[in-house]
Amino acid sequence: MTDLERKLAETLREQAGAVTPNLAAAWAEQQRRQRRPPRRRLTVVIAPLAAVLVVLTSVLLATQLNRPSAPPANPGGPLVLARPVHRPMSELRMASTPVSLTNFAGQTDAWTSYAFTATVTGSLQFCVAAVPRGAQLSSDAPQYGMNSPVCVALGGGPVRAGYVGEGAGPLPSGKAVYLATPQVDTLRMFNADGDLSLATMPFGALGADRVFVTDVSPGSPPVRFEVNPVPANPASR
Amino acid sequence: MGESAPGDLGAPTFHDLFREYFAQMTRLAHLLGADDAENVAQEAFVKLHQRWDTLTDHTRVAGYLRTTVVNMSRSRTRHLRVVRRTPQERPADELSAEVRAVANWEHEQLRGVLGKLSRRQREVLVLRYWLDLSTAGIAETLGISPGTVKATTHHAMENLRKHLGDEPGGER
Repeated sequence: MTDLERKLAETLREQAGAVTPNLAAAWAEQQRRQRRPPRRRLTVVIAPLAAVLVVLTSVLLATQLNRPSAPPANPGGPLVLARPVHRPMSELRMASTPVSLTNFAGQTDAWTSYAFTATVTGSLQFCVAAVPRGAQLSSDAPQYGMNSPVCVALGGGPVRAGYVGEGAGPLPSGKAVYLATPQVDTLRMFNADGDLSLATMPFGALGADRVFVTDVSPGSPPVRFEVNPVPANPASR
Repeated sequence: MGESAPGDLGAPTFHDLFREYFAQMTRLAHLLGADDAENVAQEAFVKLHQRWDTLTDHTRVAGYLRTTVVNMSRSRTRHLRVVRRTPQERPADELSAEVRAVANWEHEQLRGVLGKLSRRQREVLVLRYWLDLSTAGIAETLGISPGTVKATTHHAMENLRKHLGDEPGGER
């Protein structure tokens, strides 16, 4: 380093040292700004987007009208499950040993997501809850977000219940958990675009039923499923 | 709000990153000539927060913040130039009278000359000699090639020498 470079570095350090922000006040201000509604930005973004959408829709419609449409690829069967409903932990009577699904970090604490079955108003349901990492899954444990725990009524198909992770829910966005019958060894999920989640092996068990955890695209939950897919035989090609 | 990326246990939380980088980003904006350095840093973190859920690699957060601060500082200094309040027209630094009194003469000269450099030359020098970034790091931050970084650094140092030589009592 030359003498000039050394002096330059010293000068910059000295000039930078003159700036001493108050971190506590800055953090409070940052939180205030994060809550600020992005109204102007939304307007700026939405107006041109809407125009582009109108044009694209017109083009698409014109194209569709002039060409016989190809049948959409619909792999597997439709996934029809009951809607998850938030239930206070005090209303749940746990009916199985909880299965730990994943750990994730909140603003100040680490959390663990659990799946379990519980009796809710007389019927057995599939539930997911997130409590601080290391804490017991009990009615007095703090719950993550506004939706924890959530419970889903059990259905009659091979995939009996499921829950797709969300921002304020007990499972992080980008993950989903499903409860399937004992006959299901491998589970594949497809979103509305036909995009495939990886084939998933059982993650754990709740009684005789099996728990599957899979990665999903945030905002594009699985809508179809396939169980025990037969691998393609290379010799048949 | 301000959580770690989901499933990424051990990743710093937004608050951790804020504590670690806010002062550095404020100083970076100040060195790049923004007259509202703290506001620039705040807005850079707001932008980061808006993209927080889509970030997959938290090790690149510092680079993202640097690039945002550089771009926002550019906008700010461009605006200042338009309203005829260029950073060059205001004092080269915001030091108090007491600090100014004891400031090293050479440093003061250098600060003045830094303010006369082009925007890109100043950015390259700040990133290299204050943040100690590598050529590749500077290239990534400014969105230019490593070759351009090297050439700009060379020309900036030449300009520094030339300006300091022109100043009474300067180098040479």
